[in-house]
Amino acid sequence: MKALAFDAIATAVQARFPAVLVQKADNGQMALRVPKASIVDVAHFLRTDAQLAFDGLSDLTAFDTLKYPSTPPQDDICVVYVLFSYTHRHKVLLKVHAERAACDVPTVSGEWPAALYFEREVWDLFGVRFVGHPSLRRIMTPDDWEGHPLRKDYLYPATYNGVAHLRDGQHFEAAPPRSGGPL
Amino acid sequence: MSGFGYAVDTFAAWLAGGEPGWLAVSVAVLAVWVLPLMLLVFPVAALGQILERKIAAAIQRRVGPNSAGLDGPLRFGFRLMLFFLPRERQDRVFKAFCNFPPVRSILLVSRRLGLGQLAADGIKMLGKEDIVPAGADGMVFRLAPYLALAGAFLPFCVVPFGQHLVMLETEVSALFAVAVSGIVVVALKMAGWGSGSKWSLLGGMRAVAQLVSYEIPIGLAVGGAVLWSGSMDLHAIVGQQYEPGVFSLLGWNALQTPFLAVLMVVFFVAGLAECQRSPFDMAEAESELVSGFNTEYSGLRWGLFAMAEYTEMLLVGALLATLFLGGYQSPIGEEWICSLAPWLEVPIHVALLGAKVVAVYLLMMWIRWTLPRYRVDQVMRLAWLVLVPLCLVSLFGIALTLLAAGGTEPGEPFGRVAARPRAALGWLGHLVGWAIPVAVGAWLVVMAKKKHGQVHPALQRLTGGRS
Amino acid sequence: MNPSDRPGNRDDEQIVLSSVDEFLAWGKEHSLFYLLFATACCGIELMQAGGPRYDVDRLGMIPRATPRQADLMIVAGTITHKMASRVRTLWEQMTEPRWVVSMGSCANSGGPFSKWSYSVLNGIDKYVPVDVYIPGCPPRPEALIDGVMALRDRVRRYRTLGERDTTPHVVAGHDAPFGGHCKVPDFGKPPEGKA
Repeated sequence: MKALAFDAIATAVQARFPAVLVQKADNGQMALRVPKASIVDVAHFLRTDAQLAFDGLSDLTAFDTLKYPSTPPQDDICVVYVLFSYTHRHKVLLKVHAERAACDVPTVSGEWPAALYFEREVWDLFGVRFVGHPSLRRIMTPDDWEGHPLRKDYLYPATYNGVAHLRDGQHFEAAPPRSGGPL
Repeated sequence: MSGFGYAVDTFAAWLAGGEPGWLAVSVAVLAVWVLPLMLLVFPVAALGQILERKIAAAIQRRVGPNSAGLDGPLRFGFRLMLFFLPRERQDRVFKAFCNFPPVRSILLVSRRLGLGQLAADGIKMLGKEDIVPAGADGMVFRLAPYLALAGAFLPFCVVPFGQHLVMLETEVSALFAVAVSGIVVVALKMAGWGSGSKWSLLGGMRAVAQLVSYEIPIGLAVGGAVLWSGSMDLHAIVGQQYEPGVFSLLGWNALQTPFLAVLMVVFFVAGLAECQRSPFDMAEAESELVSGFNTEYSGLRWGLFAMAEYTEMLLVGALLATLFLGGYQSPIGEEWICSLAPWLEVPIHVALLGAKVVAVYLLMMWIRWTLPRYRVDQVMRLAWLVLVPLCLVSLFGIALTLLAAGGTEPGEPFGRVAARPRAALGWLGHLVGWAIPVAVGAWLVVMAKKKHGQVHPALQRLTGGRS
Repeated sequence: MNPSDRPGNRDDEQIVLSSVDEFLAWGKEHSLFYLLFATACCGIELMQAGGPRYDVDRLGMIPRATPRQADLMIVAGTITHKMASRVRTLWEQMTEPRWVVSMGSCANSGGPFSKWSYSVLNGIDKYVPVDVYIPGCPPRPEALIDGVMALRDRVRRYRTLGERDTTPHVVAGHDAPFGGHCKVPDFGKPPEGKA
């Protein structure tokens, strides 16, 4: 058992996959940005390599980069993989960017079965289509829901099931108060 | 003789004015037995539900029902009696009556004790909508609660309540009681299947699996008492336990050999499971199966199921007392009670049996509100790997004790029950009969502790504890 | 119009039946079995109301796990659009006569989620008819018991053959912290040296 630091993990991955970039977030969080096409290969390498042995997928989530303070402005959906190794007790973050219009990412459920539910959730709330997922259905919202609510350009439905979204006398005045800042 | 016992025969002969025909016997059975038995058993079973709520409240440091008093039914009574008055006058009379100090105190106390709760629950159930689900098998669904109640009530026919108070005197009444209570299994299965609901079906399956499994230890425990007494007649088993002198409880089966005492405990535990009581209430486990086999039952039908459960608790208490605790006999001075006039002796004996039954009843409630629920596989393991072997060992021990006694002595004649031969143990035999099994048992426990350093792993697994 | 003046509800219209009906209503009033379900933090207060301190069993209320045997549905907590149809199904499975209490802001109107959440239903009354609304976020058990007392007034007026009173009743006075006019138990001063 030997826990590796992020740099060592990044070096090991980049030696095998030169297209993988190291990315530092505003809050100092280090992550590996993986090209969409090679995510399954990278995942397989991370899981099976004896030095890395990421045998657990702790989380699979996403965020919308629209309105994200960056130059040039972007509008990708970023899928985040949080990996943990129970063998070596180290962890790493992977990020995969998918275009807003054609939002599809290969599934990693072949590597970690835990991804089956996570990917359904990300599909439901962000509209990321995971190619190869055996049963990509909505999991949080009702089956007949329209749109993907956590996208930043999502418009609230006026009614659902014949029930108005706002009560009598309620109306949207302005943008909801947000504390601002990335994420 | 009609075979329906002394009381029925006498009453039927009095009705017919000679040799009674079938009609006189039927009327006598209804009048002397079925009606009084129902009036005795069902109210106690219904009261048990309120008693249980009060006991649960006491155990959980709550107050329990204390808002429903007798004033509701009383107001209704006043309305009926004073139907000729306008409502305001009725109300005024009722208020004046309620404010009369003694009445007021009685009403307040009745409220505090929640005496009206039973009436309120019953009235509410009467008024509830009666739903038969669309997917249900209507006939089976409707029949099941009545069958459950019948199965719980019928075995009371053979329970002796007193010297002259046995409804059905047969040579095989112990077998009859065990066999007839098996109807409940069918009823629960019918309820589960007929409801057309998956929770009901699962609950019904569990109920059947559990009840069928636990009938075996029950049967073996009854068999132990039968083996010791040499009769399948419950009244004869009671008579066998008669001991003249001051300490009549020395004749009770539970004190004869340790094996019978063990069988009594086994009977009680298996009886808990037969009633679907906690910790064996697998069939109604709320956290897993909404409400088990009675999920789809509403209103009065559900009330009948609840009634059947409490009636069966009474039955377990009655059979336990009859087989192991001397039936309706007093623990001290039974000889003197037997010599009393019938009008005095009968109520005393009924009250004594009632006291034993209520003691078992309360113990069951105490256990329900104290212990958590077993898992379904643990319930099965307990029946087949613990209770059944325990019963078999005890049966073997009883047979050995009878053999070692080497013969029988004439027993004491007990009222109308003829004297039966008893194992010729004598006081020394009783002493040895207790000493050897207890010593062997203690030795086994000590050896198991020595070998494993602790309690035997099997025992640990059973209790769910860890080393 | 006063509900007890509705046609068929005036007790002097039916001499004998009204007495029986009054007795039946007395039974219903004292035996409100509630459906055992809770969807959010109001449920914690609901459980507390059944515990030793507040003990709604005093009023003859015990929880039932199956809607068939329940008289009262206490909607305790946030109801999402997805859950709403399930709540409706449970209500439909309950046997008449049945009552609904909406407990807390979420069940009343969507509460803090009413506007800026896409998924939360803005009031359970859009799906099931509510008899009593209890404000609060969450209401204390005292407030729940106050709501139950208000409901009991309504149950007492229930007549099998009469017209059902469907005016929503809002329990007032619980907007203030610790539930308005309900007496807050005095636990004394906190011990010294602790925050």
